[in-house]
Amino acid sequence: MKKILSVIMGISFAFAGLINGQNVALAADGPAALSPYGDSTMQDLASCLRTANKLDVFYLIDNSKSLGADPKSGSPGTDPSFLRADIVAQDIKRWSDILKIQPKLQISVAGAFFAGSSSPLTSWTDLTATNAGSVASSFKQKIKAKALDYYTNWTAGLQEAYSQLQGSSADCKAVVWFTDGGLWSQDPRVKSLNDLSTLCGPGTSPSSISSSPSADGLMAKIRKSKINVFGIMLSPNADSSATGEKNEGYYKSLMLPVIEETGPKLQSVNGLPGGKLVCGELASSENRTYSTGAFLKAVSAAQIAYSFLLLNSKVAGGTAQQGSTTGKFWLDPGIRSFEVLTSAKNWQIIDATGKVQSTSEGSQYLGTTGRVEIPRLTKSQAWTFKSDSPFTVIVYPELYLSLHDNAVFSGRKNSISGQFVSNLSTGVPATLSDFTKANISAWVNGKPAKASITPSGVFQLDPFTPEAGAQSLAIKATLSLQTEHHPDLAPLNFALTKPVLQPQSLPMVSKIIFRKPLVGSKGRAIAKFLVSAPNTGGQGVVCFAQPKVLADNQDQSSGGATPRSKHWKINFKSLDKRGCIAVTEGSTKNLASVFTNDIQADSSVQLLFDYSLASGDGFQVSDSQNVILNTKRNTQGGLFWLWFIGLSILSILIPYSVLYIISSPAARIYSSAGLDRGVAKFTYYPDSKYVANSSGSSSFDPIEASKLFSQLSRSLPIQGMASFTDDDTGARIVAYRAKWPLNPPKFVFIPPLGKLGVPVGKNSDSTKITFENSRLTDGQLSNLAFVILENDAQTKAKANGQIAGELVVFNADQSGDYAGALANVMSGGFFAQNVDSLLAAHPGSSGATKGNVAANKPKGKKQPKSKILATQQGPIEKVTKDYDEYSTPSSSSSPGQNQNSASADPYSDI
Amino acid sequence: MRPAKSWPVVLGLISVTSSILLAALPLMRLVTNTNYATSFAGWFLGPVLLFTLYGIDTNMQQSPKNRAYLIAKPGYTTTLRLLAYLSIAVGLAHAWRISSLLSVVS
Repeated sequence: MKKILSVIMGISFAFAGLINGQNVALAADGPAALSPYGDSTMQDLASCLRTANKLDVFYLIDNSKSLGADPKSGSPGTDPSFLRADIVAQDIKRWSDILKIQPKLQISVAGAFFAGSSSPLTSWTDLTATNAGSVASSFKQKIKAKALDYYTNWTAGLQEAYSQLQGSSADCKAVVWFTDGGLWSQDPRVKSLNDLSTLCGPGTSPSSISSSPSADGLMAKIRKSKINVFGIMLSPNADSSATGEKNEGYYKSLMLPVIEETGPKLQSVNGLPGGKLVCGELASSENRTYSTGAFLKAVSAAQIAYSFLLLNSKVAGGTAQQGSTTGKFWLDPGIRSFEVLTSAKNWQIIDATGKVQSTSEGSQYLGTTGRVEIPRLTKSQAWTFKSDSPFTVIVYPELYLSLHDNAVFSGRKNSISGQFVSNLSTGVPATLSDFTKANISAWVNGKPAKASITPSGVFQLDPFTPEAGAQSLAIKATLSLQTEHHPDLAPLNFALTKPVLQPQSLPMVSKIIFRKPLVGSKGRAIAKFLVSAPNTGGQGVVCFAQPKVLADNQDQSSGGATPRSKHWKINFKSLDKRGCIAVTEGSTKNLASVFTNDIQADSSVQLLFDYSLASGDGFQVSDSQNVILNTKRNTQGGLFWLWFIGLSILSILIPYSVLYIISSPAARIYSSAGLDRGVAKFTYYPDSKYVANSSGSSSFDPIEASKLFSQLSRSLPIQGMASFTDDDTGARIVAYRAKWPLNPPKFVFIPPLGKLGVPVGKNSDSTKITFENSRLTDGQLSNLAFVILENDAQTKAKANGQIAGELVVFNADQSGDYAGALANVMSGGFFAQNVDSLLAAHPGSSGATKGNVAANKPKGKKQPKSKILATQQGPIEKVTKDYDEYSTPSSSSSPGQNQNSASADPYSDI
Repeated sequence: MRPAKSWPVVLGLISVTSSILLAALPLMRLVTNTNYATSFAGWFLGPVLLFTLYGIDTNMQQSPKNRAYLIAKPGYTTTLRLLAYLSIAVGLAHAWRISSLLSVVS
C-alpha cells in the first residue's frame, strides 16, 4: 500500500505551521502560527491518543449567512463554494486510517451547526474502516444542505458541544469549532458581550472587560471535562467582514482568549470596552489540571484545509519541514512515511533514483499528497517534490506505543514497561537504531524517573516504590528522536494513570530470572520462580499467558538477525490446563518455565511474562514482567580453525591445481611448418671473439649456405613435444613445467654425451643471454641454435688460440635467406658470450683428467636431485628445485645423469 | 596480430567486485547471520577465481601458440595480479565468516 490516508486526528481546524515550537510556513498563503499554548494542546491530545481506547470528536460548524455570497450587499461570502464541507469530510475519512494502526481505538464523531442557535448536524456515530466514507459523505451533504442563518452565537454552539461531550467516557475528547464570524448573539451587537460572562465567568459586560482569572463559566467547565477545543476563525478580512459590520474585527478577536484563556489586549474602539480578556483559570502549565485549546485564524478556506492536515499530522507524530525551492527533501533512516502539503494542482513525487512515485493525477486528497510509505532506509535519500507551488513535508517515524499490563502495588518495587512498535496490529518492533538519537525520559507523579529503552523499542522504568498512601500514580514519558536531516523530530509523549493496589489480598509472583543462558539448538533454559499466596483472603490464583518474545536482539555483526520467532518452544511446569496455579494462604509454590529454540543465535531475548493475579474473593488484576533470556551459539574453536585453515589452503590449492593443468601446453616444444636444419663448421678465436666459417669468413655465400640446410628427417607432432632430440648430434632439449604455475616453463639443453654444447640462439639481444630467457622460452624450435664442441676444446684453445666446432641452426624462415640465418647467429655477441662461458665452465684437460667426480663420491650416498646444466650460460644453475620434469629424457642422456657427472666436471671421464 | 584477450581481466574485475559486495552483505544486514552461502560464493569469486584468471591470462599471453599472433597486454596481467592480491584479503574475510558459522554445532 503506497499511500495511506493519514492518521490520527480528524479533528479540528486550522493550525498553522508551528510544529515542535517552530514556525513553519506552509505555503505562501499558509495560516498563522500556533501560540505555545495552542501547540501544547496539540501535544496533549497526541499524548492522550497514544494510550487511549476511545476518542470523541465533535464538529461545531458555523452556518451563518456570512459564509455565503449575498447578491444584495455584494458580499462574496467567506466560503461560498462550501469548501468547508469537503474539508470536514476528508478529515473524517482520514480518521478511519488511524483505526488500521490503532485497532483498539474507538472513534466516534458527531456534529452541530450554530448560527443564532445550535442545530444538530449528526448524532454520535462510531467510525470504522468501512463506514468512514459514508459518514464523511453524510457530513458533507448536510453541511451543503444546511440553510444559512443570521448571527454567530458562540455560546449556543459551545453549550451544545459541552452537553454532547461532558458525559462521555472517552479518554480523549475534542471539539472542532469552525466559524467565520465574531461573537454576535443578539442585537444590538454590543449586548453580545454579556455572553462572555457565560463563557468566561462574571465580570465582563458591554462596558467592561474582565481580566481576572476565573474557574467559572462554560469554557472552564469544558476544560475541566477534559475537552480540547480547537477553534479556527476564517477571516479573509478582519476589519470589515462579509457582514459589513464595522466592529467585526473586535468581535472576532474575542475568540482567541475564549479558547486559549487569554490573548492580546483588546483595543477600545467605537465605545466598545478595551482590556486584556481572561477567560479561564490561567494556571501555569505545571499546575494545570484541565484540558486546553488551540486557536488559529485563517484568511482563506485553503488555509483551513492546511490546518486540518497539519493538526492531523502532528497528532500522528509527524514533523513538518518547509520545502526547499528546488523541491528536494531528505528522508532519513527511521522515517517510514511522509506526506506533502501543497496547494499545487499538478505535482509529482520523485524518489532518489529518479522514479516517479506519485502524481497528482487521480489524487483523491485535498491539499495533500496523502501519506507515502517508504521501505526501511539504511541511508538518507534525497527525494524531490516537483510542483509550481510552495510545499511542506511532513515526515513520520511511524512509531506506536504498546503498553504492557503492569500492576502497581503499594509497598513494593514496581515497574512500568511497554514497547514502541511499527504497527500495533502486527506488533512489529520498532527499530530505534535507525535514529541518530532515541532517548526516553519519564516522570512519576511529576518527579523524574529513570527509564531505559532498547534498540527494539522496549522501554522500562526503573523499579520504584509508590509513596505511602498514594492512591494512583501519574506516569508520563517522552521518547525524543533525531535523524540526520530531521534533528527536531516531534517527541512521542504518552501519559497514563495507574491505581496503586494493596497487595495483601493478592498472590504474588517473584522476580522471574533465567540463571543460565540457552546454549545450542538442543539446549534448554529454565526460569524458576515462586508464586506466593495472598497474606489475607485465603486462596489466590495466578494464571499465566504464553510468554511473548518482545525482541530478539541478536548479534548482527555477521549478518541480519535470523528469524526464529516461530521456533520457540515454551512450557510451564506445575500449571493446570488453563495455565493457572492456585496457592492457599501461607503457602508458596515453585514454578518453572522451560525455553528451547532449535535455531541458535548469540542474543539477548526480551520476554514478556503476562499473568493475572486473582484473590479469593474474585478480585483480579493483570500484571507482567520483562525478562531477559540470553542465548548463545554452541561453537567449537577447533572446528573454526579447521575450517579456516582448510579454506585458506583451498584458496591456494584450487587455483594451483587449475593452473597446473592449464599451464601444461606451455611446457612443450613446438615446430613450425617448413622447419629446416642446418649444420655449419666454424672456427672460434677466443681472443678476438671472431667466428669464422669453413671459408674463414664470418659471412656465407647464399648458395653454399643453402646447401648446409635440409628439412628435418622426421615430422614433429603439432601438439608439441616434451623433449626433442637432435638426431644427428644427440643434443636434446627438454621442457620443464614450473612448479609455480605462474612462472614460465623452462627449457633445458643437454649436449651429446662426451661433448660440450651450448645454445647460442639467434637473438642478438644481449639482455637475453640465458637459454631459458632466450626466445626458446616460447618453445619454438625454429628459434634454436646451438654449438657442439669437443670436450677438450678449452685445452685446444689454449694451445692453438682457436676452437673448431659445429653450429646447428634451425630455421623456419621461408624467405630462403639461409646465409642470413647463419650469419645472424655467428655474428651476434650472444654467440661469443655463450661459448666463452662454456669454456670457462670447462677449463680443459687439467680439470678434465681428474675423472668423474661423481664416481669418486662415497657409494650409497644418495645424490642430490637437482640437475646441473653444464651447458648453461653463466653460473651453473640448479633447475629442478623450482621445476618439475615434464618428461623423462632417455636414460643415456637424462638430466639426472648429467647432473651426476657434471657436479664437478661432467664430461671429464669421456 | 591481435591484442591479448581481455575477458580474464574483465571477469576478474567483476569477480572481485562481486566478492567485495558479497562481503558487505552481512555488514549491511542484507543476509542473515546464519547464511553462509553468500560467503562461500564470495570466497570462490575472490582468491579462487582471481588467481585462476590471473594464471589463465598469464599463460594465454605466454602461450607459444598465441605468442606469435598476440599483441601482449601486460597491463591486463598486472591488473589481475593486483586484483588477486586484493582478493586475498576479501577471501580471508569470507573464510573467517564461513568458519565462524560452520563451527556451530548443535
